[in-house]
Amino acid sequence: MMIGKRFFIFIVMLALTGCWDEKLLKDSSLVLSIGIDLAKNNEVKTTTAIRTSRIISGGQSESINYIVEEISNTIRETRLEVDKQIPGVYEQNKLRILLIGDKIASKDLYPYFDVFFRDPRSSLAAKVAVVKGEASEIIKMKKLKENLISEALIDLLKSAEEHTIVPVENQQTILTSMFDVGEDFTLPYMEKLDKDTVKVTGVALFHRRSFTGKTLKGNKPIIFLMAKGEKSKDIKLTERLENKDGRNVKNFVSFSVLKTKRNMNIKMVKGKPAATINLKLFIEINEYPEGSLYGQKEESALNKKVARRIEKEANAMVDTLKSANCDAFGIGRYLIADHHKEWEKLNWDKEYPDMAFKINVKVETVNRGIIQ
Amino acid sequence: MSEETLADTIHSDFHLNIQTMNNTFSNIHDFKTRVFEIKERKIGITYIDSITNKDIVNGRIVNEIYKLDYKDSIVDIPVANISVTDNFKKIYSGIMDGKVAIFEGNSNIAFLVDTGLFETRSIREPDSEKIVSGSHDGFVESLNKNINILRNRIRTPNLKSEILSVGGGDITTNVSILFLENIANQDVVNLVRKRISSINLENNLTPGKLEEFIEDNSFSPFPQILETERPDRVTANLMDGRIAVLVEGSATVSILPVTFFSFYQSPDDYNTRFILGSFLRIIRLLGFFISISLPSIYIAIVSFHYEVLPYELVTNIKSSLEYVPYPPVVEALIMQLTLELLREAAIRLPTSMAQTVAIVGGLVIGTAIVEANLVSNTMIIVIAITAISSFTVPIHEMSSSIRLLSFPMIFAAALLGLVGIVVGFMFLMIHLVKLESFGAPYFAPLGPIRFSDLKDTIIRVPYWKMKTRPSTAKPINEKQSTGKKGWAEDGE
Repeated sequence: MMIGKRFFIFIVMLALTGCWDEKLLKDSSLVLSIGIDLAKNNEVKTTTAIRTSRIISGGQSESINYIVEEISNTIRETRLEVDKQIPGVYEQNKLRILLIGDKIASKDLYPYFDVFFRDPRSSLAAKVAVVKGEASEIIKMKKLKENLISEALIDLLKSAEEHTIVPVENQQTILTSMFDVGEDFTLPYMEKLDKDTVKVTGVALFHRRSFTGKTLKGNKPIIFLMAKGEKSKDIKLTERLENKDGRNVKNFVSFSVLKTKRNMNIKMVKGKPAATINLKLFIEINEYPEGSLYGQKEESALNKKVARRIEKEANAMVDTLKSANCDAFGIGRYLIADHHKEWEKLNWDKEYPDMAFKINVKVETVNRGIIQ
Repeated sequence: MSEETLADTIHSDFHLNIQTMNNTFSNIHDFKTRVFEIKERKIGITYIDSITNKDIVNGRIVNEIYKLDYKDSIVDIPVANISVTDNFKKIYSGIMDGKVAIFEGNSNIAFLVDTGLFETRSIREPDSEKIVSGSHDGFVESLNKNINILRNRIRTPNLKSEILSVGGGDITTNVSILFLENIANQDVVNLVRKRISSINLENNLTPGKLEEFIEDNSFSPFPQILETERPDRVTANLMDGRIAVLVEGSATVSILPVTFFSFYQSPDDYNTRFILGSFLRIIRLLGFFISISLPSIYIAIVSFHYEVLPYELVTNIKSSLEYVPYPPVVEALIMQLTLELLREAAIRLPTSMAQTVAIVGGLVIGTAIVEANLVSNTMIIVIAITAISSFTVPIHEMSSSIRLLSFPMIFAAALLGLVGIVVGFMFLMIHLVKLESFGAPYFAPLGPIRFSDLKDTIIRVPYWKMKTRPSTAKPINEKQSTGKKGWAEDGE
């Protein structure tokens, strides 16, 4: 009897608490993408795309986006302002993409990310990209090629990641790099080209926590990622053959990289660091309008030509990195680990742009397609 | 049970005996008495007309009585089963069993001839336990016929059948305990016999009532005794050393002791190839988890933790939930109740009407309720999957139990989210592991772990590999096969 009574009280007490921590999906306004820009007087402008739906006819509904823009002192404050003007509760735990305008990216980024890192329900898997100009310009498009803007941007970035054009980064992965003196991070770089075209054009280079204004474009982001050993699903490249100029279709070769082998050697030469990356690519020829690859000779000649070409671009890429003072290869981290005494004497920010850094490239054709 | 007093003994006065019989069976329209006077012998027969076989009464008894000579004894009547008694109580119960009582002259003994004929329906496959391949017969409402069906399958003198007369006052029901003497553990048999004979109930006894009297925990949602109408299932369980309890007048046979997993075994598992059998087993156990937890998991996710959903899914679900006016727990209760109403209605109605109900319920309510935004599309899907999973359990009683269990889980999820589900499952597991069925741990072989019994629990290994019987019923003879194919050694 006593147990029965206690059990009853226990159950009733549970029920009396009610649903105080309930957070109904149907009452929430899902924020899928946010754009952050610098407004006047150092204020922040956030542009938020919120997903909702509209009933078409009995039971059927259609997804729609609406955009809210707000200017305030901090990100959190803009969020409160947004919450005042939308139906439902502002929930950014399904945030998929965070766009940062290049002006605000050039400042110290961490203060703007703090609110995302501090909230336990926050979606740290949200992708981050830097936008040329205003991020709000892209979010405000509402639709991109008939797709809702948030989905379209995610798909855009995902396919760029799969083709090894941009590094796979999200809010969580860049946080560690923000506080790491030995390594800098890079982010995808997007541009709005015209009224309805947005393109992932390359990789934005960061130093510590701020955007350097320098980017890698063209084939360089791919070569950068290969040299970093971050081959994603596939890599497709088209290279101009050496010693041939002019816009002739025969001057180019297209190939996919099936496998990469790389190693990085870091030595201390007279108290100065020197780095070499040896990169070997195993390629499959996709398009070679020049013609025959029948003999061993032609093949190795092509291998050499391609290698020389890529090597040239790779070292140009290294120069860009150095001039941006972006230690994206994490050489500083190696030095901290392997040459700690020397590291402590170094002024890395000064040393890095002048260090000896070379990339050697070798190419091997493993597949020529079904014709010789 | 009934003390035999002197007053119950048969008198040595023929007319007084007949008088006593007429008094006892007064107001019974089909009670017949007939007195013959043949060759100066007075012979009286009494019986109840409606439950006796007329062919025997006319052809074997009346006809033979007319042929009796002076010295012939009544025992010479050519029938298989004739007994002698001097006690009226025995005569009364004999008559109620359909026997004919024969009194002779002024002798103080009477003869009982077995002529009982109780009508039964014909054998057919039970509707609630259909299988694809295998035997398609089922039990009927006659104890004798049911034992007949079982003896057809198990032809050994080791199949013991004890009849116990269970009840209270003068209302008793025949209950039979069946077991294989060389396999079943005598301790369990004694326990069952003791519990059954302790029943004191002045009401009609059915397997359901019998089980409530003898089961270990009546307050558990889980059945601790397996009820079946399938002879093949009973046979298989007898062979595992379990005990079958048959009740007169019911087609349901109770099997004990059983474990939780006994309810998930079906004759189909053994009649198909073992890979398929194992697959079906896994599907059914998956059905257990789905039917208990799917609605609650859905509720927990959409009202507490929708972060766990991928965003494509979350936007889909959100758009279907958007215009529903109440929280998901109310939605779930509405749908579960509708489903239970439909199920109950469909059972009560004749088959032709049940189809109409299914159409009205399934199609009309299903679509209209969504179009009216009373329940979301996703909730309909969740409840439908839950219902279908609960119907995969081969034993109907367990299927209802687990459907009932989904309600507390729904409330737990609505109060505390996924934490509530964890708490709910914790209570459930504690209860399952603690439960016993006639001394056998209910959740074996998982709690306690018994490796040798796992061969026929979540998967089913080929039968020739099953060297020992399951240990649930603690069989005294554990070995059932050599673990090899006999011919494989011959190097065929």
